Formats: sequence, structure tokens, C-alpha cells
Amino acid sequence: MSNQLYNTHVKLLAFDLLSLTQTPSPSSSDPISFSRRGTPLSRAETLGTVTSRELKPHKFLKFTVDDGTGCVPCVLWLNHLSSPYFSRRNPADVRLIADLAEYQASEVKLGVLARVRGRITAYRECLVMEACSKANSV
Amino acid sequence: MEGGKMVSISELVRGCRPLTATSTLHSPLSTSSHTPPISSSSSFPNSNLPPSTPAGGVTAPRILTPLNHPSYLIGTLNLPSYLHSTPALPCCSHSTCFVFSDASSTVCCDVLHPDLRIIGNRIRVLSWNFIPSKCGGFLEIIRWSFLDSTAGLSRCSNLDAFPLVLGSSSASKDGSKGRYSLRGVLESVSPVSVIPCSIVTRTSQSGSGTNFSTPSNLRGFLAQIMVCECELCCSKEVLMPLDDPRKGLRGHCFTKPQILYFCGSGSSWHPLFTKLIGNVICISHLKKKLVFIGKEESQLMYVSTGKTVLRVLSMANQDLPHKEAVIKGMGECGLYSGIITGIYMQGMVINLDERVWLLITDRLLNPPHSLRVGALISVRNVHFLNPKFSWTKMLILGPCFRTSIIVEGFSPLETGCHKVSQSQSLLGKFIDSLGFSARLWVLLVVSCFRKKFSGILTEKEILGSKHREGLVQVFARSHLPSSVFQYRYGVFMEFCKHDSCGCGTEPNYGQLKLVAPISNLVHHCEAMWMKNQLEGDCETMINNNKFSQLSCGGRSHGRPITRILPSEAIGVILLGSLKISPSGRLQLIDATGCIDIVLPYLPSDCNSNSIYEVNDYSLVMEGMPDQLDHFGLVEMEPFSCRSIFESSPLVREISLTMYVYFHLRKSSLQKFLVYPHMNLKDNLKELEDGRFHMLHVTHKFPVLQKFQKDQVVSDGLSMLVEAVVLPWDLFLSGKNPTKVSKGQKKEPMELYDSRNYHEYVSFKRCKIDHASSRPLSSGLTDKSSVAGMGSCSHLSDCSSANKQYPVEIPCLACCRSDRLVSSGSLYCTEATLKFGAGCKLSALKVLLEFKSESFFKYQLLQIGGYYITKHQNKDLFCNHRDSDYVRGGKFLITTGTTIWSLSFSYDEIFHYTDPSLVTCPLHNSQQTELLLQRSTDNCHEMCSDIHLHIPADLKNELDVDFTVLEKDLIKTAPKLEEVANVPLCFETAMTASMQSFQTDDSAFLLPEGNLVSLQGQVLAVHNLNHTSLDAHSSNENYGDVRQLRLSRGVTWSMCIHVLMDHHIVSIFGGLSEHAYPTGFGPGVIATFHRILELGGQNRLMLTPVSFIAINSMKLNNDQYNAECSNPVYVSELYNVAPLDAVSSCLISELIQCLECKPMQFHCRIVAVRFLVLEKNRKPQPKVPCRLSVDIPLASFVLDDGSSSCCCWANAERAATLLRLHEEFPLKAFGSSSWKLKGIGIDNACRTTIYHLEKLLKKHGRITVKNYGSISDSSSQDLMFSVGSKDLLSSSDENLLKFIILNACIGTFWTIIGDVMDSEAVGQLEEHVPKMGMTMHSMQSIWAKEVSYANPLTEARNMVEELLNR
Repeated sequence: MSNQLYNTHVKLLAFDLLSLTQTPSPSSSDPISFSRRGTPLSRAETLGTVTSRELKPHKFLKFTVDDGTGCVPCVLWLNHLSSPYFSRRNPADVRLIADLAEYQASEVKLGVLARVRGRITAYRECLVMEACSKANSV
Repeated sequence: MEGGKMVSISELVRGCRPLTATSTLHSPLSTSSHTPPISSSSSFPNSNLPPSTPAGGVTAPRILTPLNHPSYLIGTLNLPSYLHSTPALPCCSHSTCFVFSDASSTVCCDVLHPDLRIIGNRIRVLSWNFIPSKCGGFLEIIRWSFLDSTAGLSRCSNLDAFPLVLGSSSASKDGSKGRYSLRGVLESVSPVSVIPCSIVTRTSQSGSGTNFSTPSNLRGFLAQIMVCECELCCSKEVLMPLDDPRKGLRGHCFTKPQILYFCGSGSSWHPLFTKLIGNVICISHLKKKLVFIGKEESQLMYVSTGKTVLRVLSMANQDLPHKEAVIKGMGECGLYSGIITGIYMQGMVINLDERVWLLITDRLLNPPHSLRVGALISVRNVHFLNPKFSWTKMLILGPCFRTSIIVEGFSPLETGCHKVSQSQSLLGKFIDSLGFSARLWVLLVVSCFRKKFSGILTEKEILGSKHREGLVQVFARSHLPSSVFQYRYGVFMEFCKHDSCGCGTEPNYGQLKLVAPISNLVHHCEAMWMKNQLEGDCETMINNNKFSQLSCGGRSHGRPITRILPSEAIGVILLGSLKISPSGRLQLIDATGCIDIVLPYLPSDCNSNSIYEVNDYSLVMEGMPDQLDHFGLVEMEPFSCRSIFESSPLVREISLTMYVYFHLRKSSLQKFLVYPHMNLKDNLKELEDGRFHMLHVTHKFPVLQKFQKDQVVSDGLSMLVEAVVLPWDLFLSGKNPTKVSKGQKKEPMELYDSRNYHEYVSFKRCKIDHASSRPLSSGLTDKSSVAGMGSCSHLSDCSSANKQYPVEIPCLACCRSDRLVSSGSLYCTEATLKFGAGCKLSALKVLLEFKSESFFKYQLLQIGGYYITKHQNKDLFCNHRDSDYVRGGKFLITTGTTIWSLSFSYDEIFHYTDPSLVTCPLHNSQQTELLLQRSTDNCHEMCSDIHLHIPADLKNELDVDFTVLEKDLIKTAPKLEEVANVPLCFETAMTASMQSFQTDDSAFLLPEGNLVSLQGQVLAVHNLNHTSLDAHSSNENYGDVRQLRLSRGVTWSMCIHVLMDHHIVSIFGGLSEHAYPTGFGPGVIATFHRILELGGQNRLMLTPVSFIAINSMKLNNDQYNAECSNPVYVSELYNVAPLDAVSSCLISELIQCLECKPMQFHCRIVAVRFLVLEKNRKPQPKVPCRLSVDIPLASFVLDDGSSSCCCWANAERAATLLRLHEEFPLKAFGSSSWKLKGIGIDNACRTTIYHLEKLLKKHGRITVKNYGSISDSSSQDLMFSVGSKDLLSSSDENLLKFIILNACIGTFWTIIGDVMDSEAVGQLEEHVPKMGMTMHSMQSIWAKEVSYANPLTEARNMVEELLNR
């Protein structure tokens, strides 16, 4: 089993992404690990149209990206300033990341073509992509 | 041996010809046919030779005509005024020349390496040059022999000893006076000066008596001699009786300086002493005196007496002195020998060896006659200065009172000699008070001004006179820092206390700019253009062109290159007057040439009588990349002193499009000189009070040529403007025009109470009460002006709008150029002003005609702008209005009509901004875009002549009025509106007048459609005029319209491709040269007014009435990059597959791929590994295309979805990958952005590199290391270290982090790179651990080319690849 793709943002079509194999993992940080045909994956990239958008200010932005083969649920966290996950990090850095996330959230509009990269996680047993960067590049 | 014919001096003087002759002619010249005898003056009718004939210039001087037969002169060589019998030489009355006289006449002369015995002796001159001059002539003695071998000066008892005063003998034992002797090396000799000192005169005259016409004035010169301090030398005994003085020189060390003063008759030895510098001499019979050289300074000197005797002990230094090995140019003193290659400015500037400049501005220096072009001279004790002028490099020789100029070899050329004028003007004194570099600068200014204003100003106006400062002096004074002015202490002080007088110390002249004649500027820029092209700059530009080629009519068209030079890179101030060329272009002109200018806003007081100075500007050059034919241009240096001083006309060889733009900030454009008869204040005074008509310009027509029987266009060239006279007149009350004090600036608007207005509204029928005591109308005392608006006195209701229209709106008016504020009001002039259905507002549409003398006024009008013009009795606007609103009237705007621009604002509080303090934001972002139209933004207020503050509560009233007007009548206001086929263009109410051309004959098809106005970015301008194209160029690629710029008056058929909201439209048609605005070309945002919209195909047509206005133009050099950097543009515009020669590769495949072939990766940046950012210390080239930030080491982590790798890049590519050239995304920077210092309107759109530059200026060098994740951008742990002692502040750190983060979240890149071989990796492995980092096991690539990924091309390639499988 090759780990070569583990830290790579693999470009996947939605139906591939949504059909990743989920296995419980012993690691505490990632309770579920994902793999496709035996290749473990943790990050992915998708390209498509934003078809839904739900914003909880200062908490998260949930949106879906439709690439024609399926809809990838994505979440863009906006809770950097309150989340304990970031409390260990330099507050200035956190603020920077938070500002950037806010800005990105403002760019995610219904109908725009978006390229989303992020970590693959599961939320209530459904796959969600935690967006870490997004670019309207087309 | 020696023989030939004896020639007398009078013969030579009469002959008046420059000659060279020798007594021995070894080879008889065969040129006798064209070497006329001495007496023939036919070929030299003018006894004066050209004073500054340049060597090697346009007219190279001829070699002196040799006499065709051997000849010699016999006469006596004397020191000046040595003999009583010598008649005073007219041109050398105070001179320090040797004098040669024979029985017939006397002339000045110079002799090489004189022997002391020659003085006063009859000699035979064997080889000589004769140069005629105003006062007869000048003899250069090259070779001579004693006529009588026994003759000589009356000797002292010893050999080689000469008394300074003839007839005296040192043999007679003198008493206490003159008992001192000095022996040493003669170091320096001062110029001869005259001191009005009667006491000293008495003592010094003891020997010679009546040599001076003015006994109270003492002529004399100083000399410094280095003596030995040994016991023998210090003994007060006279050293004379040494039998062989040469013996005694050994073992002596001449180190102690002593000052000698030769006065009275001794002063006539000056020419000889000058030539003895460097020799060991012995002077005896001197007095020792303490001389006051300043108010409190005294100096011990040895003063010559009547018995002083000179002996030359060694002539060791007779060989030509060698040039100093190293010249630093820091003001150090030294010796320079060189050949004179040019003499300029009446001999004040001497060019040596074509690269060194000797300044002889001080009249005391009195250089010898033989200082002619071609002569070999040595300049002793001269200061070497290397001024750091921005425009050129040079070495200046600055002579002080210790400097001597000695001619070592006479010039063989037919060049004249100069004498610096003895009378000194104010300018001369001014120049002498400056440091040397500043002197040269002023002389350059003088030369430039004379060229620039010849025929415009008189010589006296430029140079000034004895009592009045000229233009040069005024200009120089205003530009020179006070540090360049030096106090002059006089000859004694400066000679004796040389080192403490600050002679040769120079401040930094970096800020001094050259005032070049415009023709020189044009040549300089052309030369720079060629140089850039040759240096391969064009290569990159051409490469860029593949993105920017639009096919047009099946032909490919080359894209011109644009080069922009900021004024700092040129280092030159522009000076000239503004002029509108016959073709309607605004130009800056001087006597040498003109250059097109682009001015965002032309002030209403612009006139052609003023001389303007432009300090801050940018010069734009446009041309085709293959204009490389004229290599000669590169060698020219139009800004070299030589080019400035020489008057040879420069011929423009290549025809680049060239223009200058600048804006009206205080620093950039100054009215430098106004002719006395022009009164500037008049313009403003007129604005103080009175009644003004308001105009709204709806269209400007290009210059119309007069057709036969044309009724509309008058005779001669004229321009027409379509305008609407608004139904509002502005009244300004001149009664209390207030100069705004600081306290008043925030004065509430309520002071000028608008409530009065409300009282008004309540009236059903309102009349203007002329007797009203209300402050607003109190200014309207001019009955006649009010009478003009008699129709205002009754207003009817407008029931349909259910609203009373106000007759008066109070306002405050502020003048741009002054703090003048006056209260005023807007009065409605319309009698039947009504609103709503059925009511038509009768604003008046008029045509304004401008004749060539008032083209300035035409220039200052902008389509869509509001203007006011003063009401005059029998005013055309009024009369016209009264005569039943005839439409289509034409008014001639004469020079007497002043038009001011107008702007409005609606204020609660009257907020006064001092226009002089606020600069109009004409640059939309730093040096990237120049806004030329001030239609919609805030800078309105700053740029208009008069600004009206209208109470906010009345805004609606006026707003309605204007909008009604615009909707119903004018409708040229740019409001985006979808029109079929033409996206985002706006229709004007002008129903196509072209339709009227349509005839019933359907076979005769004329274009049909609506006239629209359209705004967009010009992508390309193609010439479709094939025939004329071929005539001008054989290269088909020369499709640019600018190539045909020289064909004046021709109408070009062209196609303009314009980008409008991601769509390209083509505008084609004929465009006359007149309608082609300066600066128009690819890259500009322009509005095309009244172009014909043809159905379909995104095609529009230019009509003869179409007007092109440039809204903004790009100011950066890399506009191509800017375009390419925008992926939207790239994908939509240029469907060119870039980089297709290189095959694509996945990073995961890299491991197998060991070939060193460049591969293409489509990837993004995940993280930065490390970065070293440095301030670019390399000398900035004149073309500012080099990065200001250096990135010596940059390593990024790339991810393409298959794997990741490490990418190394050079500074340029790293800067691209870091997105440094893009606009700084302030929004994304979020809450931290306020910490960016100086964020404002101006800073808002700056590029990232600008902010980084500021950081690096502070810290010099910043190293960034990522100790965190290399697979997650937001988990990078960045550590910073700086080169400076200061710590990186948290805000600076934030900014850096943001820049890196911004690079990581950015877009996709197409990177062409090589896999780095083991050797390179090995080197890195050595280097990286030193920085405290570890090398990763990732594959490393070296980026060779970086560009934004083009997803469309990528997708297409992918599909193709899949299909080919």
C-alpha cells in the first residue's frame, strides 16, 4: 500500500470522492481514514460549480461543489478565533488564517466555478471536504 | 640649413591668416597652388576664427596652412609690460602673455619650454604658428635660436641668475632689505591679481618706479615653493654664492611650503614662473613680511624686491608629466595632461581628451592664448571632481587659484583662441560663487537655454546683464541647494589657506537635473530604445507577443512595444511652452523641437505664452520590435556635455511614437516664466463675481477640414464642440469674496442658510426680489446682468409634477487655484420650466466653434463635463436664448472667452479642502494607470476650476434637473445598457444621423445603425490600409498604425479591437490623424463616442464625427505581463497554446524520468520551504524593469495532485510565484490591513512588491524558513530572521506571512522546469544545512518558466491527448 498520495491533494471526480472507502483509524487526529482502491488518501481537490451555500457566521460555511459527476459537500471553517484546535498556535497566525477564510467565504457564491482543495473528513459518517483553499480560476 | 625668407610681424598681422611656418623645409610642399601668400586674405575674410570649432565635430577644423617657403622671424621676446617702449597690446592689456616684437610690430606670443635667457633677447624664430585675432594676432614659437650667441639678460655674477628687474644687479651688496633667499621646488603659482593698496605699492616701487599707471594698485602674484628644512637651507645667509647649485640639491628634502609674493615689476614674470612649476629654483634677495590675507588671518611671505634674482637649478621635470594613475574624483588636487578636443562657452569650458571637462570661469585665471583646440596642455594643481549627475558621467577639472594651465604642445589645427571676458556680469559672479560641478551645470543650463529659447527670448533675457538677473540665473537659483554656494575669500586667502577654504569639496548633485533641449531628449530616448532592443530586451517582448496577437482580416499584425521611462531614469527636466499643433495635439515645444504630451487635465489658465517646467513625468515610446536599423543612434549621447554645448543639429532618424505624460501636481508642472504682459490673476479675478452660463459638453468633434460650400465649418482650421446650455445660471456675489482662513474651513453650510430657499418654495409664483436684503442675492447688484434674465421673473407651475421648481439654489463656490471662496446661487433661467409628461425642458443645444488660436480651450473641454463661461452683455448665449430657443446655433469661442470647468458636491457641512494640499488621485494605482478623464470619480473637485458646494437638502432639486436633462436631451452620460449584439454599450439619443445618408436606391448601400458610445480596453490597433502599408514597409508584420504616423493628413483605415467586459468588439473605419489621440494604442481604456453600431458580429464603425477619448492608460512597462497574469484575459482572449513544445509531466512520474529535458507541470504551491529576500543592491539600470527585490534563494513545495516536489526558482520567477507583481489583496488581508502604513486611496491598489520593498528597505535582508507542514498551507510554521539589527515587528511579520499564504492559496501554475541533477542537489545539500534547514527527500526541480495555467488550453490538450490514445 503506497503512501505516496497521502499528503497530496489528489484531483478526484465527485463520484470517486464520494465513494472512497472509509475505515476507522487508530490515529486520534483522524478517526476515519480514507482510501481508494487501497491507496490511502487524506487530501483532495475538486473543481465544479457551487450549488448550495449555507453560512453560519464565525462558525463555518457549508457549500457543495457539483462537478457533473456528483456533489461534494465542503466546509470552510470560520471558527479559528474560538476553536480550541487553534489555541495552541500563534494568535497572529490564527487571525491571518481566519481573515483569509472569511475572505474566501465571501468569494464562494452560488453559481461560481470553484476549485476547492482540502482535507477529507467525515461528518456524521458522510464525507466532507474541509476546504483549505479555493480559487476561482476559470 | 636654416634659411628662407624673413617675415615681419606686420606682414602677418596684415595677412590675417592662420599660418604655420618653418625655416627648414625638408620636402618642398606640392600644395603651393592652394597655399596663397601671407598677404592674401581672400580665403579668410574674417579675421576671427570660429571660436569653438569642435574637433571631430560636424565641421572638423583644418590643419594650419603651412607657408610654402622656408621663413623665419627675428625679434625680441619680452615679458609683459617689461619694456616701457612696448606699445600696449589692445587685447592683452592686463594679460600675462609673453610679447614678441620686431621692428614693425608687436604681438602676444607663447613659447614652449622657455629658456630664461630668451627674455629680452633678440631671437630667430625658426618654427612658429600665427593665429590672427581681433587685436592683430598671436604667435606660437615652437623653435627658436639666439640671434647673437653672446647676448642675454644682464647677468648676475653667477651663471643662470636673472634679476627680476632689468638693470638691477644683485652683485651690489644690499642691506637689510631683501636678504632672504629660498631654494626649493616651485609648487604652484597664483594668477596675477591687483590689490588696491597704496602702502605696499610704495615699498615695492623702490626698484622700478613708474611701471604702473595707477600707483595705488599693486599687481602681483603668489607662488608656493617647497623648501628644505635642513640646517643649511634654514640659515639666513644668502645661498647665492654656491658655485654649482645643482650639486647642493642632493640630500635635500623639499617639504616645507613657503609663500612668495612677486609684486610690482616682478609680477610680469608670471608667464615664466607658470612654466617653471615643478623645477627647483632659487630666489634670492627677498624680504620677509607678515601679510594680512584676511580680516584676522596673516601669513608670513617672502616678497620680491627690486633686486630679487631668480635662478633655475634643475629642469628635471621638463619631460611631459604623466597622468595621475588613479583619479578618484573626490576633489583631490593633481595634474592632468591632455589634448583639447573642444572649447565651448567663450572658452569657459574646455573639453580634454573628449571626456574630461576643464572649467575656466574665473576671470582671474586668464588662460593663455595658445589654449586652442588641438593643443596639448597640462593642468597643474587642479581639483578632480566626479559629479554624480544622474544623466551622464564625467570628470571635471576644477581650477582654483593654485591651478596653472601650461601649453605643452601647440595645436596644429586652424582653431581660434579665446579670452575670457574681463567684464563680469551678474551671472558670471553667480557662477563663480558655486562649486565646480554646479558651475558646469549652470553652464549647461546656459547652453540649453540659448538653444531652447533662441528666437523666443533675447540673449539678454536669458543671460541677464550687469544689473539684472537673467532667466538662467533665476532658474539655477531655484534649483540649486544652498550648500553649493561657496564663499569666495579672494586670491590671497584661497592660495595661502587653500585646504581650509573648502575648495574642491562638493556636495551631492544627484538631484540636479539637466534641462535638455527637446531635440536632445528625443534623441536620448531613441538611443535608449535602440540600446534596449540591441541588448535583447526585445526578445522577451516578442516572446510576450504570442499572447497578444489578434488576427485581423486574415493578416497577422505585429504588436508594438511600449517602453516607459520615468523622469528619474532620464534625469532631465522638461522646459518649454505648451502649444496645440495644427493637428490638434497638445505639445511641449522649444526652439529645438517638440514632443507630444498627455495631460490628464488642462488648466483653464493654460496659455502658449508661459514657459512651463515639468519635473515629474513619464516618457512613453512605442514602436515595432524590429526597428533596429539605425545602429548609429546608440553611439550618440545626446545628454553628454558635448552634445549640449555643441550646436550641431541632431537629425531624427527613427520615427518612434513618443509622448510625455505628467499631471498637474505642484511638483510636476510649474509655470516657470510668464511673459510680463500676461496677468495670471486676471483669470481668477473674473471668477470673483458676476453671472455665468453653465454648459454641459455633449460631444467634441475632431478637426474638420473645410469642404467646398460647407456652411458649418468656417474658413481655416476649426474645431467644434456640441454643448448644452443649461437652464441655470450661476451668480457669484463678488461683494464679499472671502479668502478662507483656517477657522472658516469647517464653517457649517447653514451659515449660508438654505432656509431662505424653503421660503421660496412656499410661494406659488415667485419673483426674484432684486431689492431683497438676503445675503445671497445681495451680490446681484448689477442690474444689467439681472436684466438679462428677465424671463426668470415669472415661473409657471408644473402641476403634473406636483412640484414647484426653485428659482434659486444657494451655493458656495471654491476656486481651484486660490483659496477664494465666494457665495453664489444658481438661478433658473427658464420661463417655462416644467416637469412631467408633456413638459419639455428647453435647454439649449449649441455648437461651439474653436479657431486655432483658442484650441487650448477646445483641449480643456471633456465630453460629459460641466463648464461655466462668464456672461457678457450681448452675450451670444443670452441673446440666442431670448430669440425663441433656436437650436443648432453656432458660437465662436474667441480668445476672450474664458471657460472654467465646474464640479458639484452636496454638503451638509461645508468642508473646505485646500486644493494645493490635496493631490488629485490621477493614478489609480501606483505607477500603473493614468486616469485622463475625470468624469465620475472624486477627483472632480480637485481638478475643476470652480467647485460648487450645494446644500444637501437641495440636492434633489438640482439632481432632478440634471438627470432630466441628461435623460431627455443629452444622453451621452455613460450608463451601461445592454444593446443587442453589442454587450455593454450605451446608446445615445442621437438617432443615427448616418441614416440620413440612406437613399432610396437600395443598391447603394451605406452603413446603417445607431450611434453609440462605447468604453473598453484597446487590445490592438491594426492598419488595414494595405497599399500605404506596403509603401512604407516591406515587412508585412508592420501592421501597426504608428508606422504611418509620418504621412500627415492621411486618413487611415484601421481596425481597433476593444475588450468590453470579456468580449472583443472590432471598431473599424477611417481615422484621420487629427482624431487619433496622443497615447492611443493597445492597453489604454478609451471611450469611443458616436460610433456606428452595425448589426451583428460585434462590429462597430468609426464615422467622421467619432471622437476617441482616452480614459486611462497603463503606466507600467510590463503591460503584457499584466494582461497575461490575468487568467481570465488569457483564457478568453488568447486562444494560443503556449509552451506547447514542452511535454507535460506529472510530478509522480518524475521519479522515473531521469532525462534532463525540461518538463511542464500544472501545479500549485502548497508551501514555501525557504526564502531569502533582499533589497536589490545592483545598480538600477536606467530602464526600470529590473526587480527592486532580489530573491537569491527560493524553494517552494509544488503539488499537482499526483505528488509533490520541491521547486527552486530564480528571483524573477520566485517573485511571480509569490504573486509579488499582483495587486495586494487588501480585502483578504482583512483586519490586519489597517496596520499597513500609509494605506489610503493612493496605496490601496499597490502591488505586493511595493509593501515588500518597504520592509526590505528597513531590514535589508529577510530569511524565511518553514519548520511546519509542507503539505498544508495553513499549517506552515514560518520563522523569520532579518539582516538588520531591528527586530521584525509583528505587523511586518504578519504581512510576510500573508504574502506567503496568499501565494499558497493562489492559482494554478504552469511551470516548465528541469529535474535538478545530483550535482546541483549536492550543492544545495551543502548549503541548506548551513541555514539550519534539512533537505527533504522530495524531488527537486529548477523552474525555467512560470506562467499562469490556462485551464481552457489544459482541458483542450487533455481531450486531445485522450483522443490520441
